[in-house]
Amino acid sequence: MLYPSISYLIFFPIVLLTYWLSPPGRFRQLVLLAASYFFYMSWIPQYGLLLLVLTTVNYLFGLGIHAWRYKPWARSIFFLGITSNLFCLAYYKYADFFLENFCALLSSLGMQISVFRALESSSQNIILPLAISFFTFEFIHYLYDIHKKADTPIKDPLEFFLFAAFFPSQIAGPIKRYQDFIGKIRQNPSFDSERFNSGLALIIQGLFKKVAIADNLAVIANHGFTQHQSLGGVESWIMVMAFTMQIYFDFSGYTDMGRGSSRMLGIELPKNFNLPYLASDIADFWKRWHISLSSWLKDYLYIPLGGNKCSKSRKEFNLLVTMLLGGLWHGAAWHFVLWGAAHGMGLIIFHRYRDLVKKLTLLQRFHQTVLGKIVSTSSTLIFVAMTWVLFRAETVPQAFSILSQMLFLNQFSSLSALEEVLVSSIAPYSLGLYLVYAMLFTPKLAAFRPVLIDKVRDRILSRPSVRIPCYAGACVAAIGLAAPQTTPFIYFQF
Amino acid sequence: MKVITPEKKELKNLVIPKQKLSARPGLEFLGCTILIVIALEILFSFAGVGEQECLKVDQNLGFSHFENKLVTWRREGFSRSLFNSYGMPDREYSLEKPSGVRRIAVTGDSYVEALQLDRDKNFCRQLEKRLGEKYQVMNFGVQAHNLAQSYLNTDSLIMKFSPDLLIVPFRPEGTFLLPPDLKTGFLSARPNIFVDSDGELIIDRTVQEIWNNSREGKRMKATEWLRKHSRIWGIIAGSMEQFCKWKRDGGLLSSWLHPNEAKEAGMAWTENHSRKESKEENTALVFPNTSQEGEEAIKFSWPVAAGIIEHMKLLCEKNNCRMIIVRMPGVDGHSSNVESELLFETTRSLDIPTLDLTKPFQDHLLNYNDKLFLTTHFSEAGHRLVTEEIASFLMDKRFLAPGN
Repeated sequence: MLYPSISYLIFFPIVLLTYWLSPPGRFRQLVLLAASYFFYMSWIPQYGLLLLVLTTVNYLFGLGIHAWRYKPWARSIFFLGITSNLFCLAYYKYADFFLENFCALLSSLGMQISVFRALESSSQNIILPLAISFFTFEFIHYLYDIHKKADTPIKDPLEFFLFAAFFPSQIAGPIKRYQDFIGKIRQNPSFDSERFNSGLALIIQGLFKKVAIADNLAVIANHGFTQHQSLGGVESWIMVMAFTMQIYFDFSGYTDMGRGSSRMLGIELPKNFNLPYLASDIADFWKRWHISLSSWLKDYLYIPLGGNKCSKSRKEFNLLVTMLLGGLWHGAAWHFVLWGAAHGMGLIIFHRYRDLVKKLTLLQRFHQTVLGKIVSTSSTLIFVAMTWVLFRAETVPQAFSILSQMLFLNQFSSLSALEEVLVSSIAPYSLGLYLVYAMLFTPKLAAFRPVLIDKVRDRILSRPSVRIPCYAGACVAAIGLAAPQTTPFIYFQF
Repeated sequence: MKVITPEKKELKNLVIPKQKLSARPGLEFLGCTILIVIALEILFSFAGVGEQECLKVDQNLGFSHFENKLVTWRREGFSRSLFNSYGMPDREYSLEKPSGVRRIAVTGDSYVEALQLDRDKNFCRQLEKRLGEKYQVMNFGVQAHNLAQSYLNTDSLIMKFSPDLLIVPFRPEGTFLLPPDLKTGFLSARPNIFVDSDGELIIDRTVQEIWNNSREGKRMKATEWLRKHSRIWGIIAGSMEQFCKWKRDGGLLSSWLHPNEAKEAGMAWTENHSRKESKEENTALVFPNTSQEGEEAIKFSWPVAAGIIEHMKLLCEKNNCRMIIVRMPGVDGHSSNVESELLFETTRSLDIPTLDLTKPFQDHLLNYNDKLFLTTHFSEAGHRLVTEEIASFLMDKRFLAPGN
C-alpha cells in the first residue's frame, strides 16, 4: 500500500479511529500490529509470513543473546543472528547480482559451471520483498545493541512485533532505534489535538512534495535519462538537477507522510532530513540526508570498523568501505556501488581539505565569509548532483556518458530533446507554490521573514474554521498539480 | 454554616444567560473556502490542470465533446486546445462551405481526435497544410466513439458542413467496440446499432438510457456545468473516476482477491527496480495478432459493422459526398487478419475505396527507429506517416483537384 493512494486514504482513517477509540495500552498496540500486517500484506499477502518468521527469529535471538550473555557461546549466537539476517537480505536482494557477476567472471576465465547458471536463472524468479533492507537493518541494530551495549531486549512479543512491523515506518524508514520506539509506545500516548493537527499538516506536506513536486520532476528526469544520448550539455544539467530535486522531494515527502501518520497516532518518529541541499560540505550533507541510515552506518559499520580512532589511512579505508556498502545497500548493481565509492572518495578528500584549511589561515578566513559559504554550499550541491547520475543511471556506461555530457557541455545551447516535457511541465507551478509555503511555514527559514507574518499566520490558523478549508485546499492543490502518471516511490526498491 | 436557598418565585425570575451562537466561525469558514476556491481556480488555469474533462452526455450519440471548451491534455502527450462551437477538436468552421473550397471530413475516435499532440501536428491539420488553401480538412474525432457513433455523428452533424469527402477510419478490433457494455461506465453507454433482416438499421438506446438514469449518469448530467467550467471539479471528477476503478478492482482487499496479479506486479517491480543492468531485452520485432477467440467474436459481430458501413455510404451518396475507409494500424503493428479481410470484402462489394495502413506502419517499424506510437496513440511521426499515406492515396484515387 502506498501513502499517496486511495487505499491508504481509506485505510488510515479506519486505523486512526479504531486506535483512538480502543482502550489505551495493549489493545491499541494490537490494533497497530494488525493494521501493520494488513498494510504489509496488501502488497503480496504471502510475504506477511516472511516478515512474521524473520521477526520471530530475531525476537528469539534477542532473548537468547541476553539470557546467555555471560556464556562462551553468546558471541556465536550473536553472529548467527547477524548472519541469518544478512543471508536473508543477500538471498532476496543480492543473489541475482552476485551469481550473475560470478558467472560472468567464470566465463571470462573460460569456465562454465552449469550449477551456477541454473542458480542464476532460478534467482531471477525471486520477488524482492518490500522494505527488506529497512527491517533487516533494524534487526541488526537490535541484536548488536543487546550484544555489544548489553541493552535489555524487548521481552513483550507484542512490542517487538510492533517495532518490526510498525506501518508508518515500514516501507522506507526512518530506520528506528528500538530503545527510542519502545519508550514511546510504553508511554501510552493520549490524544493531543495539537499533535494530531501537526501530524495531519505533515501528511499533507508530504503528499504535496511527493505527488505535485517529485512526480512532476520525475517526468523531466525520466525523459532525460531515457533519451540521454540526444541531450545537450545544458539539458543534461537540467535533467540531473530535476532528479536531484525529485529524489529529495520523493523521499522526504514519503517520510513526512510516514512521520505525520505516526504523529497522529501519538508516536513521534525520528527526522530523516534536514535541508540536505543547504549542507556546507559533504560530511554535513550526510548529517542532513537520510539521517537514520547515515547514523546507522556510522554506529553499526564505521565505528565497529574502527571509526576515526585509528590511523589516518585506516580511517579513510573505514570511510570508503562504509560508503561502498552503503551504496550496495541501495541496490544490487554496480552503479550503486560506484555511487557509494564516489561519496566515500568525496568524504576522504573533504577530510584532507579540512585538515589543510586548519593549517592555512587565509583559507579559514575565506570559508567564514559569505562568498566562502556560498562556494562551499554550491560546490557540495554540484558534487551531490553529479553523484546522483551514478545513482539514477541504469548502467555504468550510461552514467559515464551523461557525466561526460555534463562536464564537456556538448551542444551547449541545445534544448530540443527536453523542450516538450519542459513546456508541458507542472513542476514550476508546484515548486513555486511550495516555495511560498516554505517561506511562510518552515521554522528554519524564520530568520528570513518578519515576525509579524508568524504571528498573523499562527493566529489565523489556530481557528478550525480557517484551518479546515486550508487543509482541504492544500489537498486539492496536491492532487490537482499531481503528475499525470504516478512515479513509484524511489526508495521502495531498497 | 449558612445555606442560601432561593424561593421558587425568585427562581422563576432568574434567567441563565444563554451562550450566544456566533455566526463568525461559519462566515470565516465560508469566506476562507471561497477565497481558496478562487485562488485554486486561478492557479489551475495558469498551470493548465483540471481541464481534461471534455465529454458531456449526448442524447443522440451517447457522449460528445463540450462546445467551446479549453482542454489541456496530459495523458500520453501534451496539448492545449480550444474545441470549436460544434465541439470539434478543431478551429471554427462556418456551416456554409466557402466557394472554391473542397471539404474533407474525418470522423472517428481518439486516433483522429489526437489530443495527445499539439493540434498542428495531427494528420488532419498536416493533410490540410499539404493540400493547400483550397481544402479544409475537418476533424470530427471524438474519443471512444465506435463506428455506430461515427455514423450517427455523420448524419446529425458532419453532413451539415457539406463535405466533398468523408474519411472513415476503422481501428483494429473496432468490431469489439460495437456492443455497449455497462461495466466500463460512461464511455460505453452508447447507442447500440444493429441491422434487421431487411437490412434496416435499428438504433437501440436501452443501455444508454439505463446508464443515463443510473446514479453515476444523473450525477454526470447534474454536474455538467461544473465539469465544463470548473478546474477544481475536473480534478474531483478525475479522482472519483479513480475511486470507482479502485472499488471495481477490489478496494482494500485487491491483493487478497487477485493474488496472482499482485505477484505478477511484484515480479515486474523487482525486474524494473533491482535488476536494471542484468537483462537484455529481446529486440526482435514481432507483430501480434488477435487471439483465436477474438477472431471468432469479430466474425460473429461483423454483419453489424458491414451494415453500418453500407448505411454510411448511402448517407454520403444522399449528400453528394464521396467516402473512403482507412484501415488503421494497431499499436506496434498489431493487426487482426480476419477483421481486415472482412473489412476489405465489405468495402470491395460496396465499391468503397479503402486504404490499409497496417503494412506501411509495419514496414516503417521494421526499417526506422522513430516511434510511431506514444503508448496507444500515434506519435507525431505516426501522424506524419498517416498524412503521407492518405495524401498519396487521394492522389492515386483522383480525389484531389488537378494541381494538388
